[in-house]
Amino acid sequence: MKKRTLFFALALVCGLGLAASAKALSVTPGDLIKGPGDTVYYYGADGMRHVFPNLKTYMTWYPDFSNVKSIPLSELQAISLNGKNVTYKPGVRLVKITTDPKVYAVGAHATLRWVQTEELAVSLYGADWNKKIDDVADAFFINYQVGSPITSTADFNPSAVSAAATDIGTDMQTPTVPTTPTTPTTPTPTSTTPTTPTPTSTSNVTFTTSEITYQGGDVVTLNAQAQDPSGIYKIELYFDGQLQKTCFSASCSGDTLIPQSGTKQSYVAEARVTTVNQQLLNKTVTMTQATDGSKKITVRVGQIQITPSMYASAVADVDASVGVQRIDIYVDGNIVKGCATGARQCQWTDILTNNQIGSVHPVKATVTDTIGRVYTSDTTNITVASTDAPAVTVTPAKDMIYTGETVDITVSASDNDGITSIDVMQNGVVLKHCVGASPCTATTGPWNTIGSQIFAGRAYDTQNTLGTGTSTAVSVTARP
Amino acid sequence: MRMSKLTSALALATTLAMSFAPMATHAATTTAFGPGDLIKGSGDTVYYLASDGHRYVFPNSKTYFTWFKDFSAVKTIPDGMLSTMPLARNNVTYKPGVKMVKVTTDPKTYVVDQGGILRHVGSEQLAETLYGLAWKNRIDDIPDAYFANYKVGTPIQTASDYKPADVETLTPTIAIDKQMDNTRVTITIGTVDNGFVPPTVTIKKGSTVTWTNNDGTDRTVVGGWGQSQSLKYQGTYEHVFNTVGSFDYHEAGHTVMQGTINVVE
Repeated sequence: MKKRTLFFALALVCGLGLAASAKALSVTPGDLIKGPGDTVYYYGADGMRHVFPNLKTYMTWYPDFSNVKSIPLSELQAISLNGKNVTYKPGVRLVKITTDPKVYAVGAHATLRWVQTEELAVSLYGADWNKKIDDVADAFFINYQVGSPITSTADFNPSAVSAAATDIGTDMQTPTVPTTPTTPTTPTPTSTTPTTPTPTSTSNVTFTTSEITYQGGDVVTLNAQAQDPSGIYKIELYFDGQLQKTCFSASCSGDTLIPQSGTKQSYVAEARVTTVNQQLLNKTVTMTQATDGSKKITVRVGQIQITPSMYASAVADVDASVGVQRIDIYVDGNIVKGCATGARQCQWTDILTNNQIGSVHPVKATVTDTIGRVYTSDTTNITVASTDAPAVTVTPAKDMIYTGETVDITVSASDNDGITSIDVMQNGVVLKHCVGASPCTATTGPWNTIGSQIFAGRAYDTQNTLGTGTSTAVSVTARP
Repeated sequence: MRMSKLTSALALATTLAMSFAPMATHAATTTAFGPGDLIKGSGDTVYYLASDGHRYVFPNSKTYFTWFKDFSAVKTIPDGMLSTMPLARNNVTYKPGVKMVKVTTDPKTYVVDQGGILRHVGSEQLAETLYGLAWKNRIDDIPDAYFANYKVGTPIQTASDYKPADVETLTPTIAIDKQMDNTRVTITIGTVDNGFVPPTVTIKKGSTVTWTNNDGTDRTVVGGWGQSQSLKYQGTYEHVFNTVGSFDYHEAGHTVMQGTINVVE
């Protein structure tokens, strides 16, 4: 306790503020300096002084104190203290954090790399490797970053790493752009195999948006992750130039609402990252307005292939996210049915005006929402043929299952000629083949992978005409 | 002799972090601890355990006493569990508002803002307005080597820029000072002996739990809700708990490694 009191008493409470404006002219970047006190600093190219947190750190870089320049206190105070302390010279020693049992080698730019086995430590640092370990106090761990572990001798070459670290200034610099690995300029005489360059950790920003095409009224999630050897100070998420969220961490996620009546064809979302050493990094995503409304409205036709005497039919369904004003169904580009009741579904059945064999009729639907925006569905064709294709529907027993569960898929078909066979399909593979017109049910699974399973079905009529059903997805989710 | 002097000064700076001891050094160890607790092992250093699963170091006792008046809340945990949890990339900094600080060899006096931001106080009058006539007694010295724990922000121009009492009230906990997201909790996977650390975690419904493997052996987390892939060193696995209840889990190859997630409203 006495010792500490003494230490703090040493540091006088100086008057507030006005730092001496005199520039320290006698020192040049790269110098070692000290004032009247005992602490030695490295004077960096940034014009600031950097602390050696302890003697051991100093000794990895210099054999003695012969080059330390003493300068007056006023000059020392005129040089700002930089928060980045000097760290161990790469390759020289092994280090251990007081309360972490792992032994680390020091790579370039203060990267600690776990030496995973004793055998590796012996081959890298010799049989007396355990005499080359220094303890780093927990409080100074923040001066380092943790890199990937060393798993083989090819991962790390102490002498090459040490030789490449020529001065503190370079080692302290954080690589700003992903540097292409270069082989060390000084070949190591002891190693006969080419040395693998040490991967240096570099700055990296990942930025994604939950959708890259949007429709007015959508809520888009912006997601950014960043890494930098100096650490991440903050991430700011911008949408259309407006700040949406600020996070003081290495990952940031925020929602933004796309204006309903936006006239813009595209918006720019941006993640701006400030690293702890004041670097600015950014990444942008340009989002374009969706030209189709396929996620908002779908159209299904009764049968994709019909005979001239049959009725054609179509059903349009609107997603729950749309406030419906009216739905229109188009065949051959003309409105054949308009539903202005505000319902989410609109149905049409009629004889086609042009029902020549071989003619193809595109069917689509549009929905106009309550504020006048129009979304258009994908187009499906109805073909007129001498014989009609069976109408096939694929129905899963459940839309959603948990991992490890099975699900029944039923395929049913109808045709005016009569059905001869029905197949339950997945990825072009027949899961079950049923003869006759009765619905065909297959038990599938158990499904253990999280995601979607897509099922389809097909049927042949007595004329041997093939009909296929719209494929349907069953989502597999983790058990709650 | 210059060299020996430097040696002693540097050695002193190093021991500072370790030099303050809680009163009850021989307390029984407990494995009932979690995010937000003050923890220590058999050594003297006290850490703040955050929801991100990292240990935050108090660089010296002065920093500790800006947050807590004594060591009564410190839990002593097994050394193996302590060392399983990684150290954070930054240390605990002064509680905002409590004290002004200066760096040993820098004449500037700073107030401390949320997140360890130092803001220069430009004049004595301003310091007096903020901290009263005895403002000189409200300044602590930070050793040069711990300046790295702080970032320098914009200077204070007028008294309205910074109200010590308000800043202190707005930052009641280290979690808030560090802007921790308490809906995300990280559990560290250690050796077979140390298991999942902390072994029991209580979270609010809808929170995300992340498991990080800090051991050289690949690990697989198996719970009633599903299981992770095989996690390599530094590999992570996430699960969102949306239902209230108590969920046990274990490691696939070593059922002795067990943990519990308690989900509350």
